[in-house]
Amino acid sequence: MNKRHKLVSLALAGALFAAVGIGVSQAVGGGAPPVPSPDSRLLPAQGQSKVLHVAQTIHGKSWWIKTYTNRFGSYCYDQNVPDEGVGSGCVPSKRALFENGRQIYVSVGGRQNEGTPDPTRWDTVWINGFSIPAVTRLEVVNADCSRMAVPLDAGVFLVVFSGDQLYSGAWPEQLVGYGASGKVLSTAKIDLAPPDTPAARAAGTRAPTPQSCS
Amino acid sequence: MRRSFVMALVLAAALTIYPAVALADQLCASGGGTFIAGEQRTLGLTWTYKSEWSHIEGVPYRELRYRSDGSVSFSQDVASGVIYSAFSNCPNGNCSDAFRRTAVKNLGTRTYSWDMDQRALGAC
Repeated sequence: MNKRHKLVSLALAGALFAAVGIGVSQAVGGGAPPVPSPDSRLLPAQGQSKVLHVAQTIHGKSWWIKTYTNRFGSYCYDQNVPDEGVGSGCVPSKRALFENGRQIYVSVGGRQNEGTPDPTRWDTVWINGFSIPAVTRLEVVNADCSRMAVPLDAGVFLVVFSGDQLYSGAWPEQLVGYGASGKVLSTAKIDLAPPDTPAARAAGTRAPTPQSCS
Repeated sequence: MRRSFVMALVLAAALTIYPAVALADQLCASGGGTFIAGEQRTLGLTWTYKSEWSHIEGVPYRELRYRSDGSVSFSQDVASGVIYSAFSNCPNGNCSDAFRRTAVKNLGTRTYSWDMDQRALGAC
């Protein structure tokens, strides 16, 4: 076999195996979308798994939080935000959440829908965080003094305000944590701001003035 | 001929594992520096599957992701103490790129450092 024949054979064999290889890879992968290399900071420590909390379905969409200790000993959480993705965060330790006497570690989030009917408003708002074990029940107090129970599981909480609630005037102002006796143990202010958008700034959108609720 | 066959076999094996090899994401936008209380920093609009915020643990801050029309697809206020946070377009573990700008706002009362990355699985 001369050199030219060898080259042609190599090209043909390469093309054949490449076709087979691609076919096998597609069959194995099922044409699935790519999965990036995992971020080691967001992987649970060896032998541990992520723990699911406060899973709930709002207008057919699944919301949840998962907690875990990562490979570097940090305390981390993942939060599902339907139709957009998963937010993750880590603090040095679970104890760090409750430093300086803090009993409720609260965070507020929000989003606008694509093509939102009102670019000055939120279409979804969520309040999430962590509370000390002595807090057995949580309630959110709105600016109009209405109250809403907050799903709480093993010190992890998440409550979601849907567009219909927000458009009818609901605006979370404060979290109230109760102990087993029903006594208020702790409160935390919720600093929800209007969306950081030019439309909201141009319209001068502001949070409603809270009333004095008993 | 045997050498050609072996080389083709190696090529086929490489292509078979190609998806795993091709999964490295790429940095599409990045920035860092300092910002004063109340100030916001925003990266450019690119295809993005993941936004990352780091080295901001000294102050409370707001994580933001904007769509191309300026609407907010994600906003989360983070209390001081968080050492690393990220947001990935990976519902049910299936990741995809979306056209987004990542931003951060200093919610504290003093100047602090900020650091953000914006990554895509495909082209930026």
